[in-house]
Amino acid sequence: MKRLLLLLLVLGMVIVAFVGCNPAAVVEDAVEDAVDAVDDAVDDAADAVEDAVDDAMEKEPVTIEAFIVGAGWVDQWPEMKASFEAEYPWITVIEVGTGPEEGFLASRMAASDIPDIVSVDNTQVSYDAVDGGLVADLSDLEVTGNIPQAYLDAFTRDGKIFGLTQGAAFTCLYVNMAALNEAGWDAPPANFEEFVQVCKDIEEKTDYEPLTVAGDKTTTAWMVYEGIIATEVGPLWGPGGYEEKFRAGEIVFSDYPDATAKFAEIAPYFVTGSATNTEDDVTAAMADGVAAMAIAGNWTANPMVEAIATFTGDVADAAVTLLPYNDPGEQVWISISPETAWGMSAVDDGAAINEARELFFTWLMQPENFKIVQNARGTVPVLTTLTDDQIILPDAIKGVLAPMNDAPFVLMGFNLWTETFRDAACTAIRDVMGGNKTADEAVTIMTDVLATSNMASE
Amino acid sequence: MQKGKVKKIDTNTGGSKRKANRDGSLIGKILGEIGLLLGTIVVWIPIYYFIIGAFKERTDIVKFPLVMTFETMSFNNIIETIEKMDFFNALKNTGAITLGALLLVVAFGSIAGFALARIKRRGFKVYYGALIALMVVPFIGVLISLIRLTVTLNLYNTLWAGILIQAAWNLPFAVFLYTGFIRALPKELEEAAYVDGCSMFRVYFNIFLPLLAPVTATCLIRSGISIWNDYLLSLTVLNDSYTPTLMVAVQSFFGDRNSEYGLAFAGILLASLPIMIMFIFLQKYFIKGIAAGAVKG
Amino acid sequence: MEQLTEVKRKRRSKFESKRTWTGILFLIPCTILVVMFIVVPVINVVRYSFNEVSLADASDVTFVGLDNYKAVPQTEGFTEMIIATIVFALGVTIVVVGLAFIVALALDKRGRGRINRGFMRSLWFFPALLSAAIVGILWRIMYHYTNGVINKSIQALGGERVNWLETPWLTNGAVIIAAVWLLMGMAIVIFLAGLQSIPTSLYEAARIDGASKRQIRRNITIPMMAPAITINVLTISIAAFKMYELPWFISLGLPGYTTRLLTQRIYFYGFEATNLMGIGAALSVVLIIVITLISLIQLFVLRKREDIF
Repeated sequence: MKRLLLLLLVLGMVIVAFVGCNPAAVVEDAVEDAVDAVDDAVDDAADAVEDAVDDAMEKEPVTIEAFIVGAGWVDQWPEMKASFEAEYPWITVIEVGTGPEEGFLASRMAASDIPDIVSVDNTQVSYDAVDGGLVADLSDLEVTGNIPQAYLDAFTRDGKIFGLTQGAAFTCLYVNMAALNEAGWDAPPANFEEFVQVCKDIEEKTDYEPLTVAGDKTTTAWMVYEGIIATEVGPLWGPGGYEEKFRAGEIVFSDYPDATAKFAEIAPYFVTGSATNTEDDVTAAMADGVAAMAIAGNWTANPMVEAIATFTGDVADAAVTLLPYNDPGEQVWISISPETAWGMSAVDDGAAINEARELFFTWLMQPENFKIVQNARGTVPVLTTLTDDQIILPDAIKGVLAPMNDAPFVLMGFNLWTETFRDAACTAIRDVMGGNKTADEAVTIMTDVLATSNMASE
Repeated sequence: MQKGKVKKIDTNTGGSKRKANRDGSLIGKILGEIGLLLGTIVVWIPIYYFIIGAFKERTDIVKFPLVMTFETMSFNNIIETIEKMDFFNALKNTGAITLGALLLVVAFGSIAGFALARIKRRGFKVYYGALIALMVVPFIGVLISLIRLTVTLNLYNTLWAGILIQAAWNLPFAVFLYTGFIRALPKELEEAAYVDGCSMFRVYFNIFLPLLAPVTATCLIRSGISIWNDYLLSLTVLNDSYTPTLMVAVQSFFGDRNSEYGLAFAGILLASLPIMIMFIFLQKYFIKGIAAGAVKG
Repeated sequence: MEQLTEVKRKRRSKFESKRTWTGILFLIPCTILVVMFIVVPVINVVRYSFNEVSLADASDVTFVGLDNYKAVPQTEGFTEMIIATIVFALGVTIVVVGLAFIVALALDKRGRGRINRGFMRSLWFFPALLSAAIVGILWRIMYHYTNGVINKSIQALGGERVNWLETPWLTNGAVIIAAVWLLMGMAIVIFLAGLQSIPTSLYEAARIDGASKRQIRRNITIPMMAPAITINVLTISIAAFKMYELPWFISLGLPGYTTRLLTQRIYFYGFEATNLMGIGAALSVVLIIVITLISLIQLFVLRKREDIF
């Protein structure tokens, strides 16, 4: 017993002494790794690169942190990192906060120490970061000019541009055509009546379940309902009306019984468990042939199309349309949003790091680098310098781009709401999908919460 | 169910009680044994499920969740997880935090427990009560101010933060254990030494320290399990990629690929493997340690 | 003679005061750590709860009096949260203590069973080694409607799949089961130690007096186990009130707010709705007070019933 304790204690001391208490050693390791990577790059690269490396070696090595790697392109990150570090050998980029950690940025902010390159969104945490002066104003950067003004406006707060978006997001219906054929349909549904009929037919005539969605993610849970209400109120209020009323907390969702009825009508067709599905679960449900259709963002186009092809064995079986929430003969209003944006820390970490973070940010927004992220996710590109041959979209999504551009649109709810409303609304919508609340109850809750908690009131 | 059986047989027999009891308990014993065995199997299904799942492909996990054959066995999950989770880095961090914090807990807890057990003064009693009361503070309630504190102390995102905070949060329980244990030791132990003019330091090092092995084992095991398995502290105070601990690494890894059950199971297995191995080899100390902690308290 | 005792007394008091000083010295390292990392943050949280605070800027603090506390009952899903927290804590405590007691009794028959008791005990203890975060992931996968092992097994036995995570009350049960699975091992081991500390002579005496098994259990086993029961009830209920990650990973607080616990609300206001951080701080203070009160009540009530301890 005594010997055991002694052993443990000694072991502890040794490890603590050598690793634990010397963060510098960790950084040194990282730098060593970087130097190794540089050596490899030097060996492989052409003379031109070699010259650059020689110049670069004179610089002081620095390490910067990037909190940008999303689930959609986590597998491409090593390639990006290696390619950047080969070009700027004195800079090491370390990815932090991967995975779905909503709390990551918040806890970093409590420490006033945000990563050098950082994902920002129209969320309270990001607003706090901007208000607290932790995120840089990107107005003066050259790359900012390559993003269309509308997308810059979406990430402007008090005159400061705090993020450059990765793409445009809108909601799609992904369809497994093999399943629809089995149910007697040879084209995806074009309006709400057809949509409900397809769901019914699939439930009755096939082994598939009709519909799934990633209810775990607030954006995707909300868009089940948002398209319906947007199509309903869009023609009444005209462009911009929805956004204005939403921000002011003036939308009375319960005043639109037709929309509520539509929501109630599709709710029973969701696969059980959709309310807590993650986007990865949805992809898996399509790949396993559990569901015939999925409501999902265009940002998961590539994995979704791939998943359908995995199950049926043919890419041609994957079809994508806008959400068919419109009545026959009328136009659907879609909800659209800039994607998560990339911002830059404004915390002064010394000239070397400040310079390095700007270099990386600029590098990231160059078309030849940006396209790696772009093509991994299959989003709608917004970077104006991207050339057509640099964009590889899945065929299925290409077809939906033209109708998307023609469709009238509202801004997606998550740009307009407060966290309190988000939490309440998404919980209510999940409950409707799970059969624990009626659409009427959910709509009433949303109306009540929006009236007390909105952008104008907080 | 078992209770009813036993009672029935008891009332039936009357006369020679000892014999009847033995007969009755035979059936009861067999039933109890079967029930216990079934219970054990049910409790072990989740563990069995994730351990075999770590060696299976996703489709096999979904189709045949509880079956394991050699043909379907693969080490791909394990290899991929080790690489993508940066397993060895996370292991190093968790190990360093656990061992460092345990060292502080044992060193500071035992001397504090010694003082509190042996000095009969009002102030010491109040101090003891206050320290014990701190055990009820929920960690999640103070996270934000804890983060700010580590920044003020220049410890944010360093392993030191993990070590010191874990040590602090495990100290009240350790002091509780040590005080209880030392109080139960006879006074005569050190009285002679004091008469001979020994200082309290000498008494502690020469007389008490060697006697503290059992309670130290308890303390190491109780605090060790809780520090190793911590998630919230590591998530918020150690959240850059130099210092993720095992639990945070598994969680963020799982978040990215959460329909890849094989990878998730491999992550779960790898993160708990060290403590499982420790347990398998040191079962006796684990059980004794935990039991001692409760009974002596 | 008188002079001599006077000298003795003086010497003793000098000795006592020296000992006291050494004692204080012994308490210093512990005090520094505990004050720095527990007491100071707690004071800060109490301070935050009376102020409007900003996440990005620690110095940006505005005094608002009791506003945060007044806002707490008006937060969305407040009543459901209270019910969910009580159901969870109570459920976990009752099931863990009850089940652990039965299992401990079954495991206690030393050496008479055919299966090695030490081995069985280790098997039952095993889940207690795992992290709550990991157990959350594991049970979430197990409860999955289409792919989880539980529904797969039910189907294989010819039953209908159960919607574990979206059915009111059933989901509370599902979350409680996972928590029980994690917390039971410790309780069993503590009960076993309690059982084994009961002297065999007591049982023998009772048996000679002709006491029935039931009488023995009621009059000897349970009273003698009082300290172990106290410890278990206390530690398990505190652990249940403090638990955050396990229930969250499994149920996301659904359906509605019926499994959303107080701790999860605190996280929401601290890390998501960060403009309302003050409310989170107020909730933290409430949680600290609730746990303290419950511990005190338990100590008072349970201690009264037992003679030892």
